[in-house]
Amino acid sequence: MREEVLEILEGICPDIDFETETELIDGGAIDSFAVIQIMTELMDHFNIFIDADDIEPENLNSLDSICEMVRSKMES
Amino acid sequence: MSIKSLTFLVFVLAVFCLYYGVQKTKLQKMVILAAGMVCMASMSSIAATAVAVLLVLSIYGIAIHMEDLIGKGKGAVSKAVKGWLALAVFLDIGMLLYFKFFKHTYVLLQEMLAAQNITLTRLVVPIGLSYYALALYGYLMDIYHKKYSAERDFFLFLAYVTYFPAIIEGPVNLYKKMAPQLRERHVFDGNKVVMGLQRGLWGYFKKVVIADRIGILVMGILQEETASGPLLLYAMVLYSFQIYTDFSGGIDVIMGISEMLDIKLTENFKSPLVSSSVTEYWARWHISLGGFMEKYIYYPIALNRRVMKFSRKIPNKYLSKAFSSALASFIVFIIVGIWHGTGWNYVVYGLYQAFFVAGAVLLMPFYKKMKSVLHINDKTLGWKIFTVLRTFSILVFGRIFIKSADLRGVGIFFQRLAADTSPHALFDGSIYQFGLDYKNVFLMYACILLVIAVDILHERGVRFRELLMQQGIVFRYIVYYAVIFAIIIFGIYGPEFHAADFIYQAF
Repeated sequence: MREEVLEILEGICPDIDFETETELIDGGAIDSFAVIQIMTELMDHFNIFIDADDIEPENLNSLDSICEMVRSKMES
Repeated sequence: MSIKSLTFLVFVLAVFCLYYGVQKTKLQKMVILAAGMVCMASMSSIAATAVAVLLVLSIYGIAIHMEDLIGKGKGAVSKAVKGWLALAVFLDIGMLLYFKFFKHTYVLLQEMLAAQNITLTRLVVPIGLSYYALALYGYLMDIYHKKYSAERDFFLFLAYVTYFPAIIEGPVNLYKKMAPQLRERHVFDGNKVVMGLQRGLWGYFKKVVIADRIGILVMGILQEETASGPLLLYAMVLYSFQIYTDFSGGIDVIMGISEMLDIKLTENFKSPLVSSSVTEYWARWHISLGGFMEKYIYYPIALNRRVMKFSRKIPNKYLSKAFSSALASFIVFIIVGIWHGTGWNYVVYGLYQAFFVAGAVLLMPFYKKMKSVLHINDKTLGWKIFTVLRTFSILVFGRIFIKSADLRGVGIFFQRLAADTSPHALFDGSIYQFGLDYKNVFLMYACILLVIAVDILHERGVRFRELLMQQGIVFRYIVYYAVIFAIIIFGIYGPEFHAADFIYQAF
């Protein structure tokens, strides 16, 4: 699943090194438009639903935290 | 009590001494609360303060009740929670809208009752309502979504909402970041106090030496009925620097006082003068308002199930992806426009900003293609300078909407702008007739260049205060005295030694 998430992220933001970046939101690496694009792709790809109140820096600051959010959405 | 008055400085000094004198967490919180009440009462009125306290009390109580209901379970309870949430939002946003749009109904009531020999007190807007009404809305939404527990300590909640430096002109302080700091014990730290003083001094310099100086010339030109063409455009360019130095100067004072009290607020500016697009500008200007809008308006709209369902039906693949973001941006900027003031000109101001932000989203593939076709290398300094100047020009024209009294005024302004194309008035000495002689105009230009240089250097990672702290004590004190004397000698002061009000204080 990690590889699939990474592929989606790199497809939308090709200039970011998602393996090392840990402040995607707090550091301003991705803007709100990219966030929406990423969420839409994740929802379509994994058949999950992500709410606006899931958009918190702690859920989106790194590849690992995004994977964790997707995993918890798939389980719920 | 104005933030630039000597009374305010004495007030801050008294709060500072009490704050570190009491040494206990609970008492420090009460000092902040008392300072908030005194500040609010003296900057608006006792009645307005009472209204604000009642609003805070209502939100405080409803949030606890909502949390208790949520804890009890689902089903019928969730309907009740939604009902309480709606009531709280109605009270909070309703009050903001009332003071922004319907104040005149109170005047009518006053006049009607005056005929019956009943006198109503003057209606005064509680200071800072535009800022904490938004913060309270965010708090309610977070409690509803169970992001954290409702605050049970009313005094702490009131101290948070009425935090005295921030009620003056922001920033919009979110509970999650601010409340934990009021629960902590703050020990006197000389370094932080000095850093806070430095920032406050820079803020006062920007306000009274730069913004108020530019303000004289801008007002002089705009009030001159015969002014037209390039002269008006020149005034609007200057106004852009005035509003930036005025607002960011005020925020520097607020941040400086907070640093002295060991309280960290959300930064409100990140070198907005170097923005290369309107979208980037709004990520650098009034960041706390933008952050609030993004979290509580933009994402809920862009990720709304109905909006997403609709966007998926759009046949064009890119537009299908971009539609929800573009729609959310449009709504956000209409709200931002209305937040800045009443009248259709503010709505159009919001639409104008939305046009560029949403347009950038919808037309992104087109822009990319154009760059490729025209062989534009967007990494060059030339391109960066071009985009910064382009963004600045868009913003200068946008400010015509908020500088005019109404839409008719905007129309007249554009007519006057187009009436004359000769730049003659800029070079024949006419600009020295509007209240600033050539020495003052020269000083104003030097200050504007200084502000631009500071923005560019900040962007390049230079931290002036840290650099200053590394210097020897003699050099540091020479700098401090130079800034203090510059504020005293070159500051613009009106009657009673008060500088003009902050532009954003009116919001």
